[in-house]
Amino acid sequence: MSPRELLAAAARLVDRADESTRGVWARAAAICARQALELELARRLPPGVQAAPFATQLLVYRVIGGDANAAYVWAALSRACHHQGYELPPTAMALRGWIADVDGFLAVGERAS
Amino acid sequence: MADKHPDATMTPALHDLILERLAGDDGIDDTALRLVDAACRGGKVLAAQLGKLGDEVSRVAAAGPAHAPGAAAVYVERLRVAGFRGIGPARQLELRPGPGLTLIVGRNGSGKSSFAEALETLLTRDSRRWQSRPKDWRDGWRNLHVSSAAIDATFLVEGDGRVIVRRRWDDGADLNTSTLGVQRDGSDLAGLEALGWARALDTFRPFLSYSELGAVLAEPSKLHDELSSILGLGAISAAIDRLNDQYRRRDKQRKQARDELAPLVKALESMDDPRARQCRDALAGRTWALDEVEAALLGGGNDADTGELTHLRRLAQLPLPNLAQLEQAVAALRDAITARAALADTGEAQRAALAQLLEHAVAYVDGHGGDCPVCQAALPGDWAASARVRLDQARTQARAVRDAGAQVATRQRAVRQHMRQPPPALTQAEALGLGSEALAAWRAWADAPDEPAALCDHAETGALAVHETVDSLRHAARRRLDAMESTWRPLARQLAAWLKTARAVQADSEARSALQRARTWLKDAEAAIRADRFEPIAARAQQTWNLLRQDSNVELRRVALEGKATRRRVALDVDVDGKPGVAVGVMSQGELNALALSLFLPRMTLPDSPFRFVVIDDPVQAMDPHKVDGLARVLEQVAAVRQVIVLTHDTRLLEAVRRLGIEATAVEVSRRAQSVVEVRGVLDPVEHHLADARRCLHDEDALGPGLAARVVPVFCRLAVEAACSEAVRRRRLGRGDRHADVEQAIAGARGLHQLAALAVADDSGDGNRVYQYLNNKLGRDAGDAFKRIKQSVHAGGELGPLAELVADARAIATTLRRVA
Repeated sequence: MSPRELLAAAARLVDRADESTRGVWARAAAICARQALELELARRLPPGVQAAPFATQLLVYRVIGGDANAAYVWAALSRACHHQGYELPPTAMALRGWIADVDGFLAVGERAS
Repeated sequence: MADKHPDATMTPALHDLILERLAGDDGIDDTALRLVDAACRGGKVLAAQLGKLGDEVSRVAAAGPAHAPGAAAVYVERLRVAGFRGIGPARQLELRPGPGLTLIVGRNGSGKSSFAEALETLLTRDSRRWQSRPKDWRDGWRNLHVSSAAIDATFLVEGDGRVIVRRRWDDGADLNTSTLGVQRDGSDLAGLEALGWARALDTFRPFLSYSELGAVLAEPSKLHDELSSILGLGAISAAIDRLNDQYRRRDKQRKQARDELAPLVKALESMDDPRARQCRDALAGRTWALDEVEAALLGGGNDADTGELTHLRRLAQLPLPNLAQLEQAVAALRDAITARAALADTGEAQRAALAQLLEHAVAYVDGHGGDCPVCQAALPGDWAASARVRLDQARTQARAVRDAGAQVATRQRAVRQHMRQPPPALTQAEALGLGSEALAAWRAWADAPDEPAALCDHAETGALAVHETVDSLRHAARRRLDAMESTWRPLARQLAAWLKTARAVQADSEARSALQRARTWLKDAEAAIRADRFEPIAARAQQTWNLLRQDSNVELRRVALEGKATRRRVALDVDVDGKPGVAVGVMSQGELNALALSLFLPRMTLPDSPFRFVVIDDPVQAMDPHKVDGLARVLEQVAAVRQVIVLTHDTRLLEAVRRLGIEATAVEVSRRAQSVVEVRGVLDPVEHHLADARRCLHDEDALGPGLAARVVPVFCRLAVEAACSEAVRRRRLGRGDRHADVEQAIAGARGLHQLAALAVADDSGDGNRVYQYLNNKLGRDAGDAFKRIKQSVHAGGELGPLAELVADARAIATTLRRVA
C-alpha cells in the first residue's frame, strides 16, 4: 500500500462507525497513519537508513532539514499505536488531527516530486 | 482621596496613547481635553487644572514626569529553601537563567510545590493573595522538622546583575513576620520596591498553580480582573475616578443648592409679594436668573417705577392738606370780601360817573369860563376850587373799590392754591384694594365754586373730608407694607444665604460640564484601548488553545473582556463541532484547565512584564494524554522566549517532552524521612543532544558510515553549542546585561568557535583562548577534538572514530558550560 492508501484507510477507520472494527479502530487508524508517515519519510531519507529504529531515522531527518512536526506527529501516533493498559485510546478528534498532519506531510513530498 | 487602583500611575506609553487619541479627536473641546490630560497625570494636577479653568494653558506646559519607570527584566538563577512547607534542611534548586524549559518532577508531597510556593512567598509575602489562603495553610507553612525558616533566591536583573533576595523567619514567628533583605554586590537595597517589582508582581504575576487554573473560570469577574489588570488600564480607571470625584464634589454642591431651593420656592409661591413673585419667576427656569433675585433682595428690580410696593409706599406717604394754613387763607379771603362789601354801598357807578362829569365840567369852565352851561346860572367864584376837591374825592373812592376787588381775587387764588387736583398716587388706591373715598373726597374738594364766599365754605369743609380720608388711606397702606415686610424679611435673609451657594454653583457649571465631557471621553477611550490591547492577548490565547485542545472538539472563537462593575466577565465563545456555545458550559474540567492556561500564558509572557521567568505548578492535572503532548509543545513555544519552570507530579509531561524531543532541563525532587529533600538532574539540553548523538551512533550500521558521519557530529555540535550558550547567558545575565543583547550576542556568533570564544573569553573574536582553555582543562588533545567538532558539519573534515567524537563532545560541553 502507498502512503496515500494507508492514510485513506486510517481516515475510513475513524470516520465510519463500522461494527467490524469495534474496539480496535482507533489503534488501527493510528497504525495506518504512522505507517503512511514512515513510508513517506523513508522515501525522503537516503537508502539503508530504514534499517535503523524510526526514532533514529527522525533524528537523521531533522539533520537533513526535515520539519520538526513530523517527529511530533510520529511520537503522538506511536503512543496511540501501543496498547497501554493505563491509558485510554485516542479520540476520533485527536486522530483526525494527526491524520491531517500526516496528510500535510505527504502533500509536501508530492509537491516536491 | 487615595487612588484605589494598584497601578494608578500611568505608564508613559499609555499616557502617550491617550494624548494621541486626544489630538486626533475633533469631538472633544479644549477644556475637556485639558481635564483628561490632567486627570491622567494625577489628582493634584487635575485639581490645579480645574483651578485655572478658562486660562489658556498649553497642553504640554502642564506636563511633568509623573511616570514610574518600568521595572528591569529578570531571570531566576537559584532558589534555596529551608524549613518551609515540605522542605526541611536547606535545599537548593539551580535553574538555568535565560529562555528555556525546566521541569521539576516529583511525587505529591515530594516538596516540589514547596519550591514554587517558596519563590512566590519570597516575592509576594505581603500580597493580598496570602490573606485568602485557609488558616491551616497559613499556620502550617513551617516545616515540622527544622525550626528556622529561610528562603533565598538569586535573580539576574537586567542592568543590575545578580540580586539576592532573602527572607528569614525567627523561630516561632508566623508567616507574616519575616525580614526581607535585598542585596546587590553585597550592598543592601531598599526592598523589592527598589527593583520596581511590587506593582509588576500584582499585574503580571509570574506564578500559576493548578488550583488557580481550576478556580478562575468559575468566577467570571475574577478572571476579568486578572486579565484586565495586565492591560495596565487601571491607570485609566484611576483617571476616570479622579474626574468622577471632582464632578461629584461639584454636583453635590449643585444638588444641595437645588434641594435648599425647593422649600424657598414654596415659601415664595405662598407669598403675595411682588419681590417674591419676581424671585419665583427668576428661579423657575433651568438656569437661575440670580441677578434678578439679587435685585429683588436689594429692593430694586423691575418693581421700581410701577410696582405695587412703590404705589403702597407712595400712598403711605401721601401729603395731607395743611389745615392751619388753609384756615388762614380762608380767613384772609373772608376779610377781603367784607372790605369790598363795605365800599360797594356808596354806589360805585355813580361815583365813577360823577368823577367823569366833574372832570369834564372843570375842564370846560377852565377853558370857557362864564355861567353854568347846563343850568345857565352863574357859578359861584369858588366853584372851580370846590369842584376840584370833589373830583379828587371821587377819584380816591373809585381806586379804593378797585383795590378791594383785587384783594378778593388774590386771596381767592391763595385758597385755591391749597386745593389742587389729587396726587397721581391716589389714583392707584382703588386698584390696590384700598378704596376710592379719599380720591372722591379730593376730587370733590378740588372741584371748587368760583364765588368767593362759597369757596370759603367749600374749602373748609372739603379740607376736613380730604384730611380724614387720606389719613386713613395712608394708614391702610402703611399697614399693608408692614405686613409684607414681616413675611418677606426672613425669607429674604434665607434667599440671600442661598444666593451665595447658588453663585458658587453657577460659577462651577462650566467645570461640571467639562468634567462630564472629559469623563465620557475617557470612558470611551478606555473601552477602545481595552479592546485594542486585549486583541493580541486573545489571539495568543486562541493559538495556545489550538495547540492544547488536541482532541477537543471545542474551538475557541472569541475571547473578550466585557461588562462593567459587577457584571464584568470574560466572554469565551466557543464552537462545539461547529455549533456556537459558551465555554464554561460545554467543556470538561481538563478542557477548562487547558483553556485557563491558554488565557494565562499570554499574560505571563507579555513584553511589558519584567519577569522573564514563569512558574507553573502542576498544569497537567486532569489533562488527557494527548493534551499533555499539546501542553509540552505550548511550553516549548513559551520557553523560546521565557524561562519556564514547570512543577509537576505527573511524569507524563516529562515523558512527552522526551518523546517529542523538546529541549528541556528536568530535575527530580524526592523527599526522604525528616523532610530531607533530594534534587537530582534527569534531563538537560546538553545531555539531550548527546543522547541523540549516542542514539545515531548506536545505529551507525543501519545509517551507514557516510550518513552516520554526517548526523552524529551535528548532535555533538548542538551539545557543545548548548553548553556555550548556557555559559554565555550565565555570565552576561549575571552581570546585568540587557537580555535582548545577550540573546543577540548568542545568535550573532558565527559558528561554534565564536560562540565558544564568547563563553570562554567573553569575546567572540578571541578564538585562541578556546584552545588554550580546553587544552589547559582537558589535556593536549582537547583543542583538536574541539576543532573536529567545529568542522564536522563541513564535508571532508577528519573526524576520527565517531564514538570518540561523542565522548570528546561530552567532555568539552561539560567543561564549557561551567566556564563562567
